[in-house]
Amino acid sequence: MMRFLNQIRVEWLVVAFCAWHAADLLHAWGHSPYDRLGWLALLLWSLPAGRSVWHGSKPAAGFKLAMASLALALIGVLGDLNFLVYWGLAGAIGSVAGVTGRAWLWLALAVCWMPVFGWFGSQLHLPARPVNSLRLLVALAAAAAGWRWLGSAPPKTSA
Amino acid sequence: MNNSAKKILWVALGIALLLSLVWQFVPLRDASARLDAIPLSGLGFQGKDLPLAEVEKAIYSPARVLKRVYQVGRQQVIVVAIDGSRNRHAIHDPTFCFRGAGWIIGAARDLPVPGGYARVLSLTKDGRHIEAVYWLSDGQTRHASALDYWWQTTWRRLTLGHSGAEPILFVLQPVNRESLDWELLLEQFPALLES
Repeated sequence: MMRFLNQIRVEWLVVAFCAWHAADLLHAWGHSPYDRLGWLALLLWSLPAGRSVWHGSKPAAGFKLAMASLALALIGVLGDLNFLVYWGLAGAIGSVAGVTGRAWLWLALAVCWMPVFGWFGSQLHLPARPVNSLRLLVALAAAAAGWRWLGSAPPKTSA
Repeated sequence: MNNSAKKILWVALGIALLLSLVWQFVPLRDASARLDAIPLSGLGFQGKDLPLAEVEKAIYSPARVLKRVYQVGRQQVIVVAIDGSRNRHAIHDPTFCFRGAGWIIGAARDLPVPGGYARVLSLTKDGRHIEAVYWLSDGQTRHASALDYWWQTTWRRLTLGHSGAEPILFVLQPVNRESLDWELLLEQFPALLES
């Protein structure tokens, strides 16, 4: 049994757990004018993570980040506070993508696809359209940062 | 990730799965009784239930929503009251909803009510100007803060309802007029401030 479990990358199951509970994002993207382009922001933001996984990332912060993401998502689920679940999902994706060093900036910019981005925009008295444009700009910046830094940590060498 | 770290993550994931499944079946007392206690008619006011539009049903479901038009003295008002016990995400910050619907929020002022305050918003859209009033009430205290609402409801769910009653969101809008005498309206219809 343990041999079978060891063959599965459990961080991916953490991603699945968080993604399952983050399904409300679909509702927000479909109904809230401020969040309409959140799906595109998530897609752009995720691109470097996909590339890193494709190249076989060796996540330095994998375990700690996966645990923290799981904890955030669980508190979010129990407390019905979606933004914690979304941060859990971002962290879980980061844990499989190999976040290190400057790539934490990419992770922090995950806010670009979250509904809280639209809420902050509305609190600044901005209409929905410029908030969505700004959302995409931040997503592009995040994608660029992730492309540059994600999974780019030099391999550890033994002396 | 080494094997012991993997084992820990497996156990944590198992616990998270179990807790998230069990939590759904723990009953959380809702605010139905307080919603039902809002009278349809009484001395000085007469109301009529309004059907929800399809888009409203999609947004609110499965939360309980009361939508009525009331004649209160010489004033007509639409009252929407939402109990988010069954879907907390049905309740949004009203300023977010109004802006999302294209309204520009001008002035905002607090209106003192028993147990706290409500907020009066001046809204403009396509040259049309109206006022709206909203507050969140747990039956004892009233406020108009989305952050306080999130805190109240999150803490309530984490404590399985032991931290207090579920707040109900009340949103009032005038019918065929820009504004109403809100103080007079709430004075003539005090039941709105009892739920």
